[in-house]
Amino acid sequence: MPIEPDEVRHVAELSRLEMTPEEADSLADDLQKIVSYIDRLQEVELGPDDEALTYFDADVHREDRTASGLERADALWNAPDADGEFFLVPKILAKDEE
Amino acid sequence: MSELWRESAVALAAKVRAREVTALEVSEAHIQRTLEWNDRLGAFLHFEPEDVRRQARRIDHLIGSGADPGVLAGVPVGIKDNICTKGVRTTCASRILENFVPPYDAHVIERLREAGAVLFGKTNLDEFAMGSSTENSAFRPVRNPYDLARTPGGSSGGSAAAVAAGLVPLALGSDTGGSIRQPAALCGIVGAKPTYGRVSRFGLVAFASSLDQIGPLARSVEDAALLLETIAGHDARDATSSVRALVPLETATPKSLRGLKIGIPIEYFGKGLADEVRAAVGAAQSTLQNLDASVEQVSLPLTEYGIPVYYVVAPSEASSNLARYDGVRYGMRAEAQELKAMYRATRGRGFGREVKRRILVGTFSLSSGYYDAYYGRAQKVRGAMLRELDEVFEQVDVLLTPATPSVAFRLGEKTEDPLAMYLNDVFTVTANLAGIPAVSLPCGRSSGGLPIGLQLMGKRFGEEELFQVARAYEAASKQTHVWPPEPEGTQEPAA
Repeated sequence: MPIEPDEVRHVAELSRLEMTPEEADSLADDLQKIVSYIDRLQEVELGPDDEALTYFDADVHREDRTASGLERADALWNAPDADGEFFLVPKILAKDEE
Repeated sequence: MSELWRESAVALAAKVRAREVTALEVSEAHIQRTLEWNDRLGAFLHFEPEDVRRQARRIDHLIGSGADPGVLAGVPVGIKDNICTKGVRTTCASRILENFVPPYDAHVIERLREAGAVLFGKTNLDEFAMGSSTENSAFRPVRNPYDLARTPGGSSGGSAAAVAAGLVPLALGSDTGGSIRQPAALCGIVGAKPTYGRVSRFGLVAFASSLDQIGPLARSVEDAALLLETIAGHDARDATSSVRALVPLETATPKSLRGLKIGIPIEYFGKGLADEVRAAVGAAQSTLQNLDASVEQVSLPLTEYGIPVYYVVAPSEASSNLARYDGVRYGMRAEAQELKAMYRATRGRGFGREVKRRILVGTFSLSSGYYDAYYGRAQKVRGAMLRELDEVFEQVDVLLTPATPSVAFRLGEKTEDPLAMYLNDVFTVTANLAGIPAVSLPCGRSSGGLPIGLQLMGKRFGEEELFQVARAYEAASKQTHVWPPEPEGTQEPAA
């Protein structure tokens, strides 16, 4: 399936990845090659019963209980910007969205 | 210089516990060895000799006070740098986490500390464990100790190179599609991916959560077993962690494998396989037959779809897991006027090319209009592969395959072609997709002296049998770790 440059820009936007036009072009080439390769999945003949299976031992349950979590100071320790109580972020709405 | 770096983990722990040597002497020998080799190999990203000595002195103090120091007393262990270590930088070899200092230890790190191990340093990897050559590290590539122009494999390339060259006797890696077994094979050591759920993923930086598993790298099966026993077991902080107990793996080496059925899947011996690898794995088959194991050909026709399934499932999970790197709670932030622009700039500058590639593929596979054709379909094919494998495991106990299609390739040889790089994992991804345990171990050398690895795959939670076969093969074949040539200019003058 051919992937249009617009499609790559759309996926990059969904992924929140800034890229230069040159980078977008070359990643579009890579994406095209990879998607052509994974397209081979379409040739597999699946039966009506085929469904996604998992192998997890996921029936491990326990009672709810309270426990201490990360201390606030530890949680904020790695933050690029914080005021001792909260994480700080830039303005959330851009001018044209206000 | 002390030669303690040549010793096995089992021997070192025994000597430290018996007070034949101190933990400090053990650490000092490995520190000197690392100072000599690490610049050349790039195996460790963070290595602080003073911190290593401090930990070793604490073990010695414990022993002096009469306390039990644990089964890994004084044994230096390398830690892949995607495993969180409290107070010690954990970068995932990514610019985006360059200065991240975890406020907690991973479950496996807690286990190592309780066992008296010395956390020796953080090993280099492909960024976020995405790669098969350790060339995707944002900081520097790792080199193969047997030929510095070649790759050690990846993504646990730093751990594999460090163990192979004697910088540490043991290291932890993580394996999402072969990232422990492939570098172990290319560096001539033992590497194991446990059954999914065997080892807690708490504190392992998530790449593809349905596939990721932490496991050991070592120079012998016995040492790998010791490390796996130390880290395995239930942990409530990982919801997929199993409550099934691991049967002790450190048993006697079986002299006979009578009654064992080994399957040889024909799809693993097709035209892409190097002749020398084919011959070495064939010889391994004969060794196992001489131990009275029965060998039969089996077929896993969906094997050829393993890589396409993997390169949908793993990037899809990665695109979701890596959404957390947004410049808010940890990691780097690129300054911008508003939030969305900050997200884009941070992620655009913080992630390397392969990581971006996988985020794009994953987001594409999960996006509206493509989900059914890609992610949905890949999961169904994965289900069919699982069923196919379960049927084969009704006929045989263990599968024998090559670990990799070829020996270590040259640095730079595959960096321009992502698909060629992905095909390195063709023999290893199935175990991750199916959640089964698999071990790679040395089975010979190429004419150029490069290691060749074979892979044994077992039934889910079948580590005990798998390790017994590996032990028996290792003992009977005498195919064990070989020390790499000493770097020029450092050899001791002849007496």
